[in-house]
Amino acid sequence: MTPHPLADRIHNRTLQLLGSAMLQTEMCEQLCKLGRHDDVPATLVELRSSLEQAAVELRSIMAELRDESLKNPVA
Amino acid sequence: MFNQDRETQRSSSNDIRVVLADDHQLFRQGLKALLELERGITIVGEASDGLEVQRVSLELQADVVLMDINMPIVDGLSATRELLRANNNIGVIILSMHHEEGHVFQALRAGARGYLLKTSRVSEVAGAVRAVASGLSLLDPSVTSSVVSEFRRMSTKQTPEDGLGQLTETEIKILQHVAAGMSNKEIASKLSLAESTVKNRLSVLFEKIGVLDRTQAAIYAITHGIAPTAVQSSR
Repeated sequence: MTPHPLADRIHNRTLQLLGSAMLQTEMCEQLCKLGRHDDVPATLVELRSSLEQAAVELRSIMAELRDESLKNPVA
Repeated sequence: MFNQDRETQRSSSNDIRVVLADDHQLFRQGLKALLELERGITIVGEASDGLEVQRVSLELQADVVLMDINMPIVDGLSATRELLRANNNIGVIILSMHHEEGHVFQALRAGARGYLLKTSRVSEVAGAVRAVASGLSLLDPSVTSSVVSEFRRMSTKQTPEDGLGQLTETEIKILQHVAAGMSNKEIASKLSLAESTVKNRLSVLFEKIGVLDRTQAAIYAITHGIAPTAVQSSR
C-alpha cells in the first residue's frame, strides 16, 4: 500500500528534523558532562534551527490538510 | 561521502568499525558526533544511499552498519539483503523512524540483527552496536511486543496447518465424514474399514490436528475447507 503523500512528508521531513533535534539535546548533555560548556550555545542554536524547520513543515502540512478538508467537507 | 583516512587513523584495532547509512545529513552528523564519544566504537564511514552503503561497508570492512530504511537509489532493506549476501559477518542494525511491525518483520527477514527507532538515546544505539558486534540481536522495546504477538499468532496458526499436511488420504476422508456428522460405524461402512480401525485412526487424526473430540474435528474440517458439501449432503 502506498503511503499518503502527507505521511511521507511527515516521515521524511518533520520526523527526521525532530530526530536530529533529539540528538542535539543529547549533544548538549554530553558537552556539559565533558565540561565543554563553551560549545553548548552553538549546539543550542542548531537545536533551535531544527525545531524551527520542523514547525515550518508542520504549519505547511496543516495548511494542506485545511485545503483538503475544504475540498472534501464532512457531510 | 566517507572520510576513510581521518577515521582509520583515529580507530584503535579493537574498536568496533561502524558505518552510518542515512540520507539525512543532519541526523548522520549528530549521530556520528555522539557515537564518537563512545568508547570502543569508531565510525569508519558514512553513506547516503543504499548502494553506497554496500560499497563503503565492504571496502572499509565494517563490523556493524547502522542503516536507515528510506534511502534513495536502493532502500535500506534491499541494501541489507545485498550486503549480507556479500558478507554475512557484518551486523546490520536498522535505525528508523518507522515503528510499524511490517517494517520490523521485513528488516528481520532481510537479515538485520537489530532494529532501533531514531528516537532512541545514543547510549542505547551504542549498546546495540556492541551487542550486535558480539553476535547478539537487539530490538527496540517499543517494537518487541508486536514481534512477540506475531510469533504467537504464527505459532497458533502453524500447528493445525502443519497437522493438516500430515494427514493421510484416508484420514482426510474420515475427517470429512466426521464433519458430515457420521458415526464411526457409518464411516467404517462407507470406507470399507473395521469400526475399530476408524476409532484408532480418529485418535491419531485428533492428535495430528490438535483437537480433543469429533465436534472440534468437525469445526476444524469446516474452517479449513475440507468438509465438502457433497459429503455433508450424502448422508
